[in-house]
Amino acid sequence: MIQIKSISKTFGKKESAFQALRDVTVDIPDGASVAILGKSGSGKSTLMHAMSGLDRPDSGQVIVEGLDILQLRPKEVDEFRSRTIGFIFQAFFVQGNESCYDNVSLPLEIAKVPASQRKTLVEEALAKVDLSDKIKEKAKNLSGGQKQRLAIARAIVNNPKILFADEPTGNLDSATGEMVERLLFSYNKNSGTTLVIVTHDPELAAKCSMQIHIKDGQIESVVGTPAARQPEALSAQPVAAAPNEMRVN
Amino acid sequence: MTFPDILKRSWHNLGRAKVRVGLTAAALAIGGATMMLALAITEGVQNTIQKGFGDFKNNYVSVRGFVTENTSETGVQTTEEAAEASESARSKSLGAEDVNKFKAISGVNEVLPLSYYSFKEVQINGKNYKAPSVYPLTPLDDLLDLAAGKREDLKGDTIIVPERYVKQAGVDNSQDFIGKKMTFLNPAQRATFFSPAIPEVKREFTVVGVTKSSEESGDADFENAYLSPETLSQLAQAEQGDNEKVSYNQILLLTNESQTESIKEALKDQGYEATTREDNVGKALEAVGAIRVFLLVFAAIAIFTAIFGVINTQLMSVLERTREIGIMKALGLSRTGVLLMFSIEAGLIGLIGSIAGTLLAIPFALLMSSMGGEMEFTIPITIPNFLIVVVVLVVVAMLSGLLPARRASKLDPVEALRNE
Repeated sequence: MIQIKSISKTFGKKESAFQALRDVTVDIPDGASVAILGKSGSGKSTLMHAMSGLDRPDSGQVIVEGLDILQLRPKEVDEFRSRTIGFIFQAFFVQGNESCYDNVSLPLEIAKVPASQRKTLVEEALAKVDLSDKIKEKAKNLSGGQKQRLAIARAIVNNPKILFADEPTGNLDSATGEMVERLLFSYNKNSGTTLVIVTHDPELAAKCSMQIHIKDGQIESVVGTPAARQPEALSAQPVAAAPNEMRVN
Repeated sequence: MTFPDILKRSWHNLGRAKVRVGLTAAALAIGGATMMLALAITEGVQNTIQKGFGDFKNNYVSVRGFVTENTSETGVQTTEEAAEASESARSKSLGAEDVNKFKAISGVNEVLPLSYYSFKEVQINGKNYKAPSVYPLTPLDDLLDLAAGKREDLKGDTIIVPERYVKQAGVDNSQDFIGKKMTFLNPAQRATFFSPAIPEVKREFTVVGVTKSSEESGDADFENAYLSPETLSQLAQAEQGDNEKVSYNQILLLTNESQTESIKEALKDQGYEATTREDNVGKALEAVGAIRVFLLVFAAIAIFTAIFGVINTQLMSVLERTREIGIMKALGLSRTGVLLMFSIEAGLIGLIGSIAGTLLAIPFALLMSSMGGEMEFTIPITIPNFLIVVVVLVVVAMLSGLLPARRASKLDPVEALRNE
């Protein structure tokens, strides 16, 4: 469960101040697949950063798994991220001159997972994204789709509770993009990991069980079912067909 | 991240910029090599001094003449004054009255007046060879190692010679050379504009001792021949000819160790140029100290310059890897972790530099060892010195890497990962 309670965030100071988030409140149930939709500059990325502990809102509360991460010390936030969160980015951000194995092993090293357990976890993660045969390959030799799959393997290797994906298909052609989407949704369904996708692609957003529309730093609308806690229920629900719309604020 | 993981990743990261890292390490290596040589030379010379002086006992005062007034008081002389002073010093030489005076000093056990004389040639079996340097044998030559014979037998027309003459005479065994006769000579010299004519000098000596050859002992002293101090004095006196007054090059006072310094000071007060073994060792050490200071200053400058190289390299590395740092921080690597990773990277450059510097120092050390020539001293590249160089360079590199590492650790992951 992610509970966002009236968070605000302002960038810059005085005249150049820009309020990226204004008093945003929203709950995301465990195991949900959530799309954060909005135009460029709407505050959708800032919201994601706030939820994941990458950035600190100026006020409000971010409660993840019952823990207010804004109350944690920086080191504890780091530990929280390494244990609980996985990240996928539009531009992949895989380490080109490192092998696939080393790329995927990085989060485990950061989380201080003993070396003896790492090999199995890395191999499993690479198998899940169908890259087992590339384990020794340098990441720079992979295609765009393969790089994003590698990034997914890196994001899921430590079994995160929440997976954040920032425009995960933005740099991919539609066929490869669909494959990555399938991978993300099936992982969400099978592992019960909460999936939060930041996107401006309505098609991708429609595949999620919940859509949060953001405009000018405020939530415009939340579409979807907050009750969707079971992955089974989630997948059974035709999201677009049953809009459970509610106004916020 | 655990330390081994950070170390492994840092090492990999260095491998990604081999040329840049190599050049930076090369700059450090020059400093490291100079430092290594400074340490090695000091150690080498100290070894040589220790070997040469044996078990250090401050048990003699050597008097070599008189100190001129000017130098002793002001330490500064004009050229004319110096010339004048040396003229007056030459007219005053050590003589029999000085020997008697020294004998009366309490704490002096023995007074040895010494003179020096040299031969040009030596005849063995009718053939002429270059003569060895001839020295008076004193109790101070206690390290002299004889292959055959006894040093106590040295008196009058007897001599101790280096082992190589045994071979030159065609004798197999050094023992068989004892009792053989060798003729030392100085050919007659015609009078020149500068010097009067000198008649031929020819002396026959009986061998009573053979020193071990230098290949085995590694010490140049063993290439010298030894006569009794009295014999050498006679030879020197004969050369001076009609001059009735006996004079010596040096007077050696064997003293009680506890009184050596006070005796020396008393002699100096009387105007003698007196030194102790401690002074001689000290002089050698002073010379070494100067070389060492020069090398250390050079090393410090080289290392100081290399610091900027390390900072530059690491700043570039941080800039290049902004994304990577962002990812690692997003994945939960702490600021300390990032700081450590970049500091260790800088430290590894220092490690590479210190290893390269030591390797670089080896040929120079060998070259300098061989330049010692007869001095036979070696410049040892030792593991303790290597460790000193490693520690210094690693610490210096890590401290230099701190600034870029801090910059990396302060990086905001949100900024670093912004889509451009």
